[in-house]
Amino acid sequence: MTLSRMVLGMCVIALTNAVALIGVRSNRLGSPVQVVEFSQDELWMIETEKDDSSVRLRLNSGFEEAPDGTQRGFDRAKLMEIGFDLPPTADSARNVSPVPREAFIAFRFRQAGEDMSRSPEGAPVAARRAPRYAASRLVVVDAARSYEALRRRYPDSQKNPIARGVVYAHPLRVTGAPEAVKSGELPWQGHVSTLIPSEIHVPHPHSARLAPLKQSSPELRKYRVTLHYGKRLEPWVASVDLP
Amino acid sequence: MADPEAGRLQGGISGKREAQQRVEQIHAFRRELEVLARERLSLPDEVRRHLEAHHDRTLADLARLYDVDVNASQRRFSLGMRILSTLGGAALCMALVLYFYRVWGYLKTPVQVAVLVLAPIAVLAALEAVARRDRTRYYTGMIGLVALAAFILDLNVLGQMFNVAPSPEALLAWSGFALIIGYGYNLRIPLAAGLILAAVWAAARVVWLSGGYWTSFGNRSESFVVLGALIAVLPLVVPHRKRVDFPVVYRMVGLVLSLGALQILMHMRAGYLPLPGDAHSGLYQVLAFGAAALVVWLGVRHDLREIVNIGSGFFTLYLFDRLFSWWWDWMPRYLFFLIIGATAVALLAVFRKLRARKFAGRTA
Repeated sequence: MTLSRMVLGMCVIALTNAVALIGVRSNRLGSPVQVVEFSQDELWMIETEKDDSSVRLRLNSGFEEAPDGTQRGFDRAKLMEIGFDLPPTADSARNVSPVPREAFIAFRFRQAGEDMSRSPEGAPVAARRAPRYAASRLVVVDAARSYEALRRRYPDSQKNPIARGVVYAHPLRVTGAPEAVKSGELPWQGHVSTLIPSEIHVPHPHSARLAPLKQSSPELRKYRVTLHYGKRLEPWVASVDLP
Repeated sequence: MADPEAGRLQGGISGKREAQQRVEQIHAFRRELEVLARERLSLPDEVRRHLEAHHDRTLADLARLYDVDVNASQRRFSLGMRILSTLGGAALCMALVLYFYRVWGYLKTPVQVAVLVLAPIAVLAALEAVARRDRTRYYTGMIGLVALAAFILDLNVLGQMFNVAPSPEALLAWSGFALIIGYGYNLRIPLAAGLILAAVWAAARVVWLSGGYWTSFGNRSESFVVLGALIAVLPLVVPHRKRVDFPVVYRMVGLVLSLGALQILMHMRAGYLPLPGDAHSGLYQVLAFGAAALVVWLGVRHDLREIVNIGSGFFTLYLFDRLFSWWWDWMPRYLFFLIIGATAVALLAVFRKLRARKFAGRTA
């Protein structure tokens, strides 16, 4: 008994690590399903504690903006397609709170000359997002339950990267209080609460090139990072370019 | 764990807790003899001498075999040492985690993987070596915590390093490891951690089966009500004859999970049950009060002090919570606190009555 408890514990450690590493290997086997290059505006360097020597990045994206500057988000039809079971409107008295769901999220890159001060309909957009958030060219355009279905809709992986994410549904708070809001009947809207994984670790030796930038202010950092996405859509850093 | 010599001791002592109870019993017996002597009732000298000698031998044996506290001073030291070993274990865990985060950016990936995998294995080997020599179990408890922290760090950082999508199965692995340490080395904190992790894993799986993302288990606390109840009753199905102080851990963890989840559900207007908002929170308010009262009644009936404390603690919490949400906004503050005070007095009267009834039942 006395020795078997240690052996049993070691078996759990070994087995769990083996399963995790086999999963990593299987994700990276073969050629990547998508290769995407991001700039410092899309892939932010996470501010870490001074005792944390790692370099980690986070994808910064947003939705198209409505004229009032709010993020458009997914509508009820899209949320239902993802798998949410929602009544036609959110009755504020019932406080229905759907559980967030995992989905595949498709993005597009804003073009260089695109006027970000106007909505897709051409209406002027009230500036609501902080400049640093608004600098990202990455815009959420669609979501689906399967990667293949989404890739069929957006076949160009360079223009439309896809990532796993968590979508949450909530009653839309509309400024200006239309009739629906006054009566307590609110339309549904969906947003992406986090991408999966939420952070991207930069391994050695790439981290050695990016680490000195941690000392400078976020606005002054300039870099480009190429991510490869494997079969499970788990990314890894393939290259880092500094100007 | 049990020493063959322990068989010499009468009363079927199988662990430190029972040994400590026997010590308390002997001290209580001696104190009662002193009181009786003052009331001019005493045992014949020869019998008293035999008894004293027998008790002295028993105390010495218990101290030697189970490292129990044989006097009040030792007891105070033991409590301090228990607190110290828990705090020390927590501090060592923090040191391990922070040191790794400090250096991991400078290590190449294969070295990082090797360090992560070997660290919990090395700590586990150290735990085994210490457990064989440590009669007091304080160092064993401390290193047990470090081993668990090292394994949690291992999987957590491995996932971060390779950008792996988080999986609930990590909770299952941590739970299994914590239970192995808890049962293997007779440690209660890893046992409690293992039970909590198993409950979180099961709740995450239930959310996943219902179509939600697994980390959303907090949005649907109903699972914890059921899982907590299952954990609390598990020792009735799986008896712990050798580890007599484990059932209390099951009961405490299970009840805190279950009653804590009811506290959250009292405020939630949506969940697994397809009920309108008010009916949903109303149902769980009734269930919460009913469950807390049932727990107190069970604790009193089966003479389980920790259960009575947990049940009455949650009953009071629920009551104050409700009084606050019903009355705080419109009631004058002095009246609100007056009602709280009056309620506390009423609850004290109820508990006193319960206590008196229990005493009457014992003496009958």
